[in-house]
Amino acid sequence: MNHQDAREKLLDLAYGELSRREAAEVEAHLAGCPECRAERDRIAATRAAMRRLEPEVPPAAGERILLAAARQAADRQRERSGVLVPRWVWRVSFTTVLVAVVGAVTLQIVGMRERTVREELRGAPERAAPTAEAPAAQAPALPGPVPARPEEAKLAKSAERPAAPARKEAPPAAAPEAPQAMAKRDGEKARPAPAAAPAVAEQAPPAERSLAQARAKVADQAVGAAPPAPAAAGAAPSADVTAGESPARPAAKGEAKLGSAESAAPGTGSPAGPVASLAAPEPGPSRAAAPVAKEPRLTARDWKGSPEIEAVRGIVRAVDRKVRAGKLQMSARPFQACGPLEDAERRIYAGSGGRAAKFVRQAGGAEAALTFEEYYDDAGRLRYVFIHGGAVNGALLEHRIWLDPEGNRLWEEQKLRRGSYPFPAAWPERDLWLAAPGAEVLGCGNGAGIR
Amino acid sequence: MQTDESDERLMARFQGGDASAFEALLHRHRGPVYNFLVRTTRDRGRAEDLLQETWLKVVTAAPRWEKRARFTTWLYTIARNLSVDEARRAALRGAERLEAPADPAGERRPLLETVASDDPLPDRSAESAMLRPRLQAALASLPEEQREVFVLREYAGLPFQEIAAVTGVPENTVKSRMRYALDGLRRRLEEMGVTAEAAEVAAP
Repeated sequence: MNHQDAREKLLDLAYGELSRREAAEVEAHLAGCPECRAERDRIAATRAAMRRLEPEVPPAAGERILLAAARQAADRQRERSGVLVPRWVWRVSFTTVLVAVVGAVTLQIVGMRERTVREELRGAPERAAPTAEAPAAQAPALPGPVPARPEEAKLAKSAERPAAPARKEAPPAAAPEAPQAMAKRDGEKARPAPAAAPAVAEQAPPAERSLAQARAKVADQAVGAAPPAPAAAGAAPSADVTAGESPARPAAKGEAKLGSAESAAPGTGSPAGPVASLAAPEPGPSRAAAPVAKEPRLTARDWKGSPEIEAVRGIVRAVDRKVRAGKLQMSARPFQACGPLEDAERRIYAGSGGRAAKFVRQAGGAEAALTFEEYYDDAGRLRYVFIHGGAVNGALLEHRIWLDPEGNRLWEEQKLRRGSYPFPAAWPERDLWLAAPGAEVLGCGNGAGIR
Repeated sequence: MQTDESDERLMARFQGGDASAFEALLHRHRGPVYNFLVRTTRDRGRAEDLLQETWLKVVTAAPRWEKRARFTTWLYTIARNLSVDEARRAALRGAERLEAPADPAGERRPLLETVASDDPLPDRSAESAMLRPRLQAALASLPEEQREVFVLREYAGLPFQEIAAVTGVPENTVKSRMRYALDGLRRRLEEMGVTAEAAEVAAP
């Protein structure tokens, strides 16, 4: 072997990629070539130094989710008796698998940054209990019985009606229901939360609360597939109901999933009764922001051309025109230091008085990324929300909310393409900025991600 | 748990519905993939997210894996693609930000500094605690395509041919990048006063 050939093979030799014969040939050349020996030694020394860089150890937290996901997938696979079904995990909409896997993943990813998985799993049901608030908010009482018309139930129009019970503390009686929705996560049954749990969301210090919020999002996803059951006590299914498998999906209207046939049917539970009963009782200390209850006016047939919706569209068009014309002062801020489910970036297009006419936020965890575009009228009131984004499974979301000047939802519409993902059909109010924010939301740590 | 079964056999078993095969693969490769992601992104948080995404993708895409393909080639290609996509998105966000007013907190630090001052994991000795940031800085100083090749070969243990498949360049290109990487590292280590002997002394 000549010098040049040997020289080029030194790298392969160092990494053991030569056949025995080739290696012997290079070694033979090395014996008589000081230059090549020096090069070999340089490579060895550099490698030796770099090998002292100790390997990074991945956090243990993530492993368990992956194993859970793999087990679920493997179970499915066996059920299908060896037939390969492409994209099986993700294609099964709102089944146990999806909810359990995605829910678990979301939870764990949050947890990864906070505590150990063990703590997370143990603590989650209780701490997530505040989300009893969410179903309450999103499945507001119907003034009457649940409508039988599917198109009514299919579209989430929750906030047209009493969002009032929404923001107040959920009645303790409803608390045990929330963990239930999370029951199937990681295959474990959830334990009922302490009755006092719902109060936590309101009373916790800001940092706690943002965490609770992050978790709440998870819970929402799970809740989306299970009866939200704000109806509380007695009527609701017992604790062995697991998310996604629930045969009785009480048609709690606000959370009705798109395309879900069951949600239109008066479930085997007792949906109409308890749900309706929420309308009158527990007026509770409603927050100042809570909008006044309104009779639903728009229907699936007439909402599109209605004057209320048109008014909102006019506002949105006007804002976007100004944005395009560069007439609004844009300021943005990335939030790399903030938590995983908090906003990654916020951008304000400031209108009169420095308040946002348009507020754009990017948020997301490892499994879904969303952009919220919120539009405000001249009085700084939220009038239109466009939420769009996707999940890692390929599902794409477009979610729109139209609001009247009082903050009531005129209409809400969700479109999912290329698969499913348990996004909340009625978007939780706590994710929205009802009042136009100013430059103060462009700081991290001082209220960012916390409201 | 320890098994000598090939990655490909394990993967085939997982395709058939055996979750324990996946577990074996995860135990074998989770750490190395994480290291690859940490070294290429230079950001543990992002590496953690990408690590989860990578393995979830392995789970969901398993039915489409072909038995002829080497598992590690496939695995690192997934990890690399996710990482590249993510970097592209980050760059895009960065570009958009140019129009934004200057960062009030002024928290954007040069990458090298970030890496060097990155809080180290608990170290075994004071010497290695001092050595570690310098080794990290040396690695971080490499151009991206050289660093990637070096990490895949040195830490992930992928043969040059496989690295060529993962990175989509000819094997000869991979090897010349590797030579440049080794030269660059040697120079940087010398500049920083790290010699192979010093490294040896720091060994536990």
